[in-house]
Amino acid sequence: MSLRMSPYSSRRSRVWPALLVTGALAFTAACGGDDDGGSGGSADGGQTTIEFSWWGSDERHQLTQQAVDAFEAKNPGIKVEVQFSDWDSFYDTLTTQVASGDAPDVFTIEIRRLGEFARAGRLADAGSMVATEGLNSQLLTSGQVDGTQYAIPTGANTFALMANTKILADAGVELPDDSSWTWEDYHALAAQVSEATGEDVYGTQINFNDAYLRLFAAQRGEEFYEGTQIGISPETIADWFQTHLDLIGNGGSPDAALSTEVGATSVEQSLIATNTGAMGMWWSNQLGALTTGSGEDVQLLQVPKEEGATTNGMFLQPTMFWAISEQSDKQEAAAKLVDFLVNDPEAGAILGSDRGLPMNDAVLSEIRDELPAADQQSLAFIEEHADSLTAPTAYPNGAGDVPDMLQRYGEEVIFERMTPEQAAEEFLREANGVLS
Amino acid sequence: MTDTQVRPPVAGAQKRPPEPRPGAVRADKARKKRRRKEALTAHLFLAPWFIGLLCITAGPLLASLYLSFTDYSPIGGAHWIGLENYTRMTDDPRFVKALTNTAIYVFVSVPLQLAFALALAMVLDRGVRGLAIYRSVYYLPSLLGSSVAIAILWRKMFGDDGLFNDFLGIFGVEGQSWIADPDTALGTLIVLNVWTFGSPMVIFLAGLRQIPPSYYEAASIDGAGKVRQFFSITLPLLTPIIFFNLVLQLINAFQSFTQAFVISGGNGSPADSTLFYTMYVYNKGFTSFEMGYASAMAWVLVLIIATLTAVNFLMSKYWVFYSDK
Repeated sequence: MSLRMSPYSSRRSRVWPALLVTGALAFTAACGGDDDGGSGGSADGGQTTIEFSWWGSDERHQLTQQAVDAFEAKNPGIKVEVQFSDWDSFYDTLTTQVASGDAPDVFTIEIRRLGEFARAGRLADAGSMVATEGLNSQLLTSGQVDGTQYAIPTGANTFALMANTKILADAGVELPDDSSWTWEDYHALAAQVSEATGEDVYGTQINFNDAYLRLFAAQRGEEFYEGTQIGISPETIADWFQTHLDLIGNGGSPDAALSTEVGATSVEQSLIATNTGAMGMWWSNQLGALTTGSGEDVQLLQVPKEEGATTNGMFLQPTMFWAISEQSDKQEAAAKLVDFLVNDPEAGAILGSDRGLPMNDAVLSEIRDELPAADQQSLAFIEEHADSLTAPTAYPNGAGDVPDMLQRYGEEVIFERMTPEQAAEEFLREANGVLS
Repeated sequence: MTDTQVRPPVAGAQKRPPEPRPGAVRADKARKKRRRKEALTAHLFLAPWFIGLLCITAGPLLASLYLSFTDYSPIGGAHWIGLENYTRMTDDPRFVKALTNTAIYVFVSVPLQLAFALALAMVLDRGVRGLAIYRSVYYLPSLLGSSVAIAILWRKMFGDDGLFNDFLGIFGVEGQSWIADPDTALGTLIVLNVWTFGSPMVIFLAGLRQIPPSYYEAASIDGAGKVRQFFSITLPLLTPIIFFNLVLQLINAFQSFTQAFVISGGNGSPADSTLFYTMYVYNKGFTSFEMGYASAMAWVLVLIIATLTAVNFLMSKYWVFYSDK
């Protein structure tokens, strides 16, 4: 081995490389200071620089960048530095920035986290700086926490039942009458489709989305959150878990293991999108992906109702919000950007329905005809049911954990490791323990 | 790295003249100077690591120790709550679940992985043609094993219409989704870890090369069969290397994160069966914003690994055999 050569042969030539390497490393990596010499950029040459951060896909990054360019063209005094990431790492980055007092001036946030950030005093009062008159007032209230408009909704979605018309036709069944169908009808239809289409094609895909529980409970007049607790009764939660067991039991959906595997994949890999299932519950802004994936006509339907229920419980979901950081010392410029994004038809035309269907009349009237077919279908659906669609209010702290919990207890149920009643009880205990 | 023949670079000591001569004092001084320079070189080479430790790791390390006694949330503030985070673990069922999962994973996969590595090293040590190629091929999984790409591939392989079920289909066995069933999901992760046997294998190979062939010759002349030779020569002489691999792989396995994170979709699905300790720490810190609790759990993990390693070293007295002692 090379270690055996005399250690003294070339000492001089060894110290210097060592010094060099050390110096270089110390300089570049170790204690390197801030690259921009302080937080958040500052005014240079009469220009205000603001930071703008969001999550999303490549397509969203491009669209948002275009909107930012249009904003800068209209506001020569403001320069926007963008930061974006995928969904998985977005909150990691944002919370780290907030913790170090270096939050971006403008960022996107969703309803599960809105309450938490607002109550911790991390968000500025956006409502007092951004014009909101044109926005759907129902939707707007979802951005309020304790009476203050901390965030401005980017657009709206609704959680609906989607049906792949090709699979239904293959199975020889009619598209159901969604104004009056019940959960029993839905389960029976799913089983019928599975039966008629043979192996590997199923009636529907189960899901543990909290939106499903929300509307299921609303049909019984129960609110998801009451103050800082879950407002749904243990019986309703148990019945909800039972619907999953029923669908697996009657063959309407794949068995527990396959359901779990499919459930963990993206909308592009869903049963509807891969033409291996007729139905499933999805957000209205996923209709485009389902249609493209399957290449078939996918219809957006009202969810089934409980026997005798007066409402189907469907609601208008704020897709996400624009928020302005309380830590920002350039809130005025930040508010200008948010105002442009929600109110300017030019921004609306660029962004389209990427962050939900715009719920601003001025923007909508401008871009309605430009929207893709799937979006027009969603928009027509939302407008048709506008009277019955309410919007949720900000969630209690800790609500971000609830979806994973529902999924976990749901899996305990479908693998028959817990009864629906046990799972409901455990879920309530754990959820109420973290909510505050 | 396992070459015990390497002499420490203090060759000066051997050249020391038998009795003091007039020039001895000067030579001694020169030697001291030389040694100082030696030390300086060593320190310089270590410096980047030390600077990194001090500037990057030490601060957060100490901060996390402090935070583990608070209810710190990254978006809120931190309040001193004493030992509450530590006592909370004892009646947190998910903490217990995470610890159990991790323990099963570590204590099943590491012995299997080492056994596999040793077996393959012995096959390759017989002078297979193209050894370098085999060595590289078998080493590859070690490099890739903890990557996101492999975890995604694993999902596919053990999924409902994955390769593994195709393989079972040959024998007429109807498979199921192995990654989505709470009874088998952890098993697929264990298989994944065993599959990354390459790095211990390479170390075993180096170790096998150091056992003098004359031992085997002598043994076979005395009539010892292959099995006897393995247990009486190979295994005892390899114990230091087994020990080294064991310590290293145990520590590694306890810190596994990526595979379980990707395969479970980040939340331990199905039904918490793949909830690893590190993943629970991450989820508590970054999803639930309970950074104080997460810090406390991280420190408990440090204690667990430290204790386990200490026990390992203490136990090594009884089974590890150093031939040069």
